[in-house]
Amino acid sequence: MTSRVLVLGGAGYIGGHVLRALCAGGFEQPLLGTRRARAAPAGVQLCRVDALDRAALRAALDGVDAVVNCVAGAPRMLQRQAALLADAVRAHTPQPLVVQLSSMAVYGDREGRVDEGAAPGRLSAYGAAKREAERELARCERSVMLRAGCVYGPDSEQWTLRIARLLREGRLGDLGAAGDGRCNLVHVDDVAAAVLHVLRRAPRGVAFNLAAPQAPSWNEYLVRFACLLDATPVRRITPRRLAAEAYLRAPLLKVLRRAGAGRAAATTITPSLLALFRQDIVLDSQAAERELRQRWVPLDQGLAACAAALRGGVDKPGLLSA
Amino acid sequence: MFIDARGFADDARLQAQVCIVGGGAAGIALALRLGQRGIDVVLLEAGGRRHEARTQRLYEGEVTDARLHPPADRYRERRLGGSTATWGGRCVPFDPIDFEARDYIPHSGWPISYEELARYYDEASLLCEAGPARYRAADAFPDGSAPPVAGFAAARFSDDTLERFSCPTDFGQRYRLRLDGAARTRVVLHANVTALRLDGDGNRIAAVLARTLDGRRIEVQADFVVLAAGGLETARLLLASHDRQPAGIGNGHDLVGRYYMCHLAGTIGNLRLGHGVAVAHGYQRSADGVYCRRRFALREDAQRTLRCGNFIARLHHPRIGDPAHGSAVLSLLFLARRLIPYEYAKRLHDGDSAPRDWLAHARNVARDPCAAFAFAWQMLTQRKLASRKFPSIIVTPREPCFSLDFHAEQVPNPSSRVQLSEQRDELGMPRLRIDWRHTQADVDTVQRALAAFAADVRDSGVGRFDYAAESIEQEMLRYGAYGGHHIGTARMAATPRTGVVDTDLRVHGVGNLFVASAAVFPTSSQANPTLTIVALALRLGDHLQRRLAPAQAASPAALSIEELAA
Repeated sequence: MTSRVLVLGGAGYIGGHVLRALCAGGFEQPLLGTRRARAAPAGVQLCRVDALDRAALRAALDGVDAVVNCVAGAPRMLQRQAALLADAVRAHTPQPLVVQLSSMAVYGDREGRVDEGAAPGRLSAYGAAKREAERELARCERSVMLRAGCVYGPDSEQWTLRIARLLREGRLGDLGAAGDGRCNLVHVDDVAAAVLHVLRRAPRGVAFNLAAPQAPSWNEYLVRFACLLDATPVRRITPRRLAAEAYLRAPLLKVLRRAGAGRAAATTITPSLLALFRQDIVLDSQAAERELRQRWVPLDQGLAACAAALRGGVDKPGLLSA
Repeated sequence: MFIDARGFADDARLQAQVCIVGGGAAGIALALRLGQRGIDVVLLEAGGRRHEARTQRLYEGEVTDARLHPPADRYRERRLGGSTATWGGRCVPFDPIDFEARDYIPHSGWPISYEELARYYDEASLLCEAGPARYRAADAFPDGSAPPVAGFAAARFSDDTLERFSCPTDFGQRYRLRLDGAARTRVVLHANVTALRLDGDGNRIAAVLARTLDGRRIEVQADFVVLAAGGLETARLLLASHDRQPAGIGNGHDLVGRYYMCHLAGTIGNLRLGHGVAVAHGYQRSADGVYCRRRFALREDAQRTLRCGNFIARLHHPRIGDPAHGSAVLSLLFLARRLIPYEYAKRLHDGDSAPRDWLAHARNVARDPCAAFAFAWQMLTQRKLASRKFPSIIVTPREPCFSLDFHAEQVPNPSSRVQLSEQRDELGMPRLRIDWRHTQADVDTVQRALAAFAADVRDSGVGRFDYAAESIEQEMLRYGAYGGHHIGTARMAATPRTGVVDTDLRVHGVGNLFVASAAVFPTSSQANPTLTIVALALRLGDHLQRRLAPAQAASPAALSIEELAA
């Protein structure tokens, strides 16, 4: 494959997996776009670029056929970064293809089965920023949004390591009515595969949901994962306790962290996480199966691999996060 | 969506594909299943979200012999969640033998196979929050679990079956959000169904009539109507709807209300184990956190040999009221019995409690305050404050002595029955008269099973089991019929001559009326009924979905509240 691909946020969790998949998939010398100085892995070319620097972005896109945007960060930054990227892309002729790592958060608090055409419900700050980012990038000639569910994998801080810690500490478990929402998990390998599918097939659609089919409830997932981790017997968490976590402990730690007193790695259960656990939303990923020929890592297999890695002591939170 | 019927204008009319009467274990399980599949459901619930005394009084009735059966308004709850608001959470599946026509038990045999029901046990068990349906010790504990009595040679009794405990889950609380979120489900609170109206030909329910306590009337028309109001109320509704069929709906062969079964339970005997015999009479938690307990179950071949009903037993502490047990924990319970809900305190109120006994109990507590405190602490943290509650009181006696707590099948008996009484409730509905009876066959089941148990204990050399054979009937009737298990009043059979509902749970002769309740059980098994009630409700859900499938897309969407109030 001759096309040159730049992965912005390539030092991050998803970006790293995308780069690895690119190498394995025969994309020669993909570019790892990052602001931090670091050595690039074999077969990958380092491209030091501040994704919020207009001129640097524009220069980084010289000679690039496609850019995969995996930049993570605070909502306002995300929106601005997308606007800058769109400008930079449009300044080139021909414009490179843009693959945006978007999120199911763009559907807000919608419930039920949700396909790519669904109107959003009430949006969180993050969801609103991701939606704005999509709008900015839609100004480009060719752009594809990958709206991923919860991206997990053996080294996913958010949806594997954090959850495992909370299960082992007995702070999560069977949540009762608070955990009846659907858990739209997608394995990080599937996300990386989807990026490659987009690069290879230049599909007709502009947005694709990414979540493994037959989403279990959060309770089912938490209990299953806890059993695999031997964090048993799984606890039933009272609503009282969840409320204390989200409305006392989490805000308190946030204040402490701001004041520089708390440990940065302290794991909290935030109100937005609780809202997600309750949200009965099913991401309909049939378009991805149809247009991208997307296949999925079976959840049982993915979880078992995560648990095996964790039991082997590979739990190093933050190692690979951006 | 939830709607309060008290907010309706007078004469509200609703239409739905399925109208469910009653929001307890069966009604909610069914509503969730139909709701998931996009079927338009109206669920009429007589109560509100909490216990309301005035609503609960609609359950009052007459009991022929108050010593043998609790008052009609006890052990059941007229509110969202129904009696799951008060149940103990014990989940146990029926056994294959329960489905057989046994020549030694008249009227036995189910018209459906064990397998046909068993495939719903997994989902039912999960819905009850008792974990997946692993009801054998080896399945639930692949790494092994301690038997109740080590070295027990299980010739006649098996010690491998489990009871698994629900939280205990109050279906109303637990599934409120899911019911609320289901797009085409309307749960109407405070709607007391007072009658089912047949159409002109008498073979279809034209309307379900309900009333609020403040006089509003609601009429629901539905393709299918499901009575999920419990074993007593279902019979009452069928019998009281007698304007077209004088004997009541589905009662052409005088079967509605008959064959009323509870279970026979009691605590008896003295099991004295040899020193050094390991005992595990408490709970073990499975990996998913569920409290499980192994117990002794009379094997199927032993039942056939003994020609008796199904029977299980657990190791139990001595009788609480008698201070001679010397246990600080049991005495503390006795002294605190007024703080314990009626349904659970019954066994604490037996016998006379002379002031002398009070003193003796107080002495027991004073002698071992640490044990009493540890117990109180466990009850506070693992029961009172916990969402998944420690299921019952487990006391390890000082001496290796236990009593035996048994739970036995009651045989179907047409003269054990509920009927309408002359009295009427506030809404003008006839009240129930409950005439629960037991027979010699029920006594025989317990008698033969206890003898077999004593033989198993003796043969295995772990100790001895002594009991007073002549007091069996007295012991099994000490607390009367087992509270809350209301079985058999609309039994399932292939023909209208032998049963009220058919194998699809449809009332014989009425095209669109179904029953989801322990009322349809032809026999009572050793098992507590809730798990099987839920399994049957799920099975009924599948049946209704199949019947509705072609028409489903064409039906109108749920009405808005404004439309309803208009």
